[in-house]
Amino acid sequence: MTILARILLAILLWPLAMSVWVSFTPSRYLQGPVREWSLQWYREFFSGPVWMDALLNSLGTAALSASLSILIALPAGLLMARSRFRGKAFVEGALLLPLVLPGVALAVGMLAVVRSTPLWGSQFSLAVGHSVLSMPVAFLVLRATIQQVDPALEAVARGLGAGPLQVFRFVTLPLIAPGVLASALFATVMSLNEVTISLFLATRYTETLPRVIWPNLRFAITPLVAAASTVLLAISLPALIGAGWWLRPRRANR
Amino acid sequence: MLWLLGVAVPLAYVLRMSLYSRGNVAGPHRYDTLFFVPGTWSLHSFANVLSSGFYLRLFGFTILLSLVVTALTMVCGYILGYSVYRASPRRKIVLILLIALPKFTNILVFVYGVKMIFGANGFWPVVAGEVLLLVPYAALTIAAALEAVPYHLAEAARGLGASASSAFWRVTFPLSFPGVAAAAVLTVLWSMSAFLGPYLLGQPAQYTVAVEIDRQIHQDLDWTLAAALNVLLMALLATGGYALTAMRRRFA
Repeated sequence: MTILARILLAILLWPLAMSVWVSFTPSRYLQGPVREWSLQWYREFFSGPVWMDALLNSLGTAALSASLSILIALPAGLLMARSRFRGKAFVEGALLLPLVLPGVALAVGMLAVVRSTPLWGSQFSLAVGHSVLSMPVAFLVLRATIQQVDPALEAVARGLGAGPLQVFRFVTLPLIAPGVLASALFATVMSLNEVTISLFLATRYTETLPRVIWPNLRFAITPLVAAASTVLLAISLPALIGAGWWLRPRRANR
Repeated sequence: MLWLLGVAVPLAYVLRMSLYSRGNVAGPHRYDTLFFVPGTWSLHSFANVLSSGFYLRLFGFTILLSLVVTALTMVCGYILGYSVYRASPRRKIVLILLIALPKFTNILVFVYGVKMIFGANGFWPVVAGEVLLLVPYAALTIAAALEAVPYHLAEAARGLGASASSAFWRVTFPLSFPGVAAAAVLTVLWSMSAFLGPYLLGQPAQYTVAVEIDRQIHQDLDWTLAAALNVLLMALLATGGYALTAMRRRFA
């Protein structure tokens, strides 16, 4: 069983390792570097205005969509963790619905909506699209974090005369800060890597990095794509590890 | 609010769009009525889809692909999930991180790697790509379900004379079955809406409904037809999800 699991894990991580490895090739073709390693494809990536614009666009969209996600997921998490009301199960289902909807269906609908508003071609519309996908994840993380906060602490603060906003600002928020940070990082990484919605909503001026990689992947494949992919990986990986690290102490004392 | 803007309104639009008549869109006015003629109601697109052998085969292939992918994903997911279950606490975290890693990297990086490994496009690269994309979810869901099964139970069965394999098949596996069923439902739903894998790793023969929707939107510019395909795909998902959940309730 363990040997099988190791083989499977290796297969699972192989494609990632492969594209990182190929990005250091000196060759024009998709072969891994054997004796000679080269940064030539990275030079080309960082000196290409199309790639740099896309990278900046990606980062901007990711920041915007992560903020939107948290802005929605935090009140939703508080509501679902702390209060009981009629139709709660329905609201929860609605919040989690984007997780199981086909990405293409959401993308087509958003395209139609955005096309008939002045939002077409704006970074904001793209960020909204991404946060629809990352909000359920942020919601799940935040609700779990909030549920771990002892309601008695909030009750004590209220008893000492704090208003609801003060309770949130000075008691709840500091206690759930790791969860907020982790879900913000998750949302950022999801937005950086999102493909389907970007394919439908991005225009020439709002192209994200995956969107620029896309036609290259489909038609002319050069190691430049591997380099671009590796840059994305290099941004996402520390964020992922950071998120895991922030969530760790919570998991340990559960 | 965002939910309304980002989920409900787009879905309502898709539904409404699928019911428009496309009108006569040839010639220079092609882009004026970009995706519909306002104020028309018609089931034309649905009739188009349901009466064409091409689209019925497309849905058939999508379902077939999703079943093959789900079967393989469940086997691989269970093996990985079980190894997480049996690992020491410290290695558990590392294993979970490694399994989740591909999900937090760009799907294009991943597909790119798969493409390099297989060289050519075809049915099996698509299956492999989709399985690799879905296996982390399945493995982690199954691992979570297994966590709830105390390992002492299997040890007790061994102590009472059961062989290792019968302790697993008659004790551990049945107890983990609810998690397996949940993972299977999710995998079926996700693989049914497979888009990037078939698009990047397949040839036209391996295209799924989602790929065809993209093609209608970006190349053939028949948004009404794309919307109708979308509605049908979501209906398929909803019935599939409902039927599987009902089955799961009965057996688990």
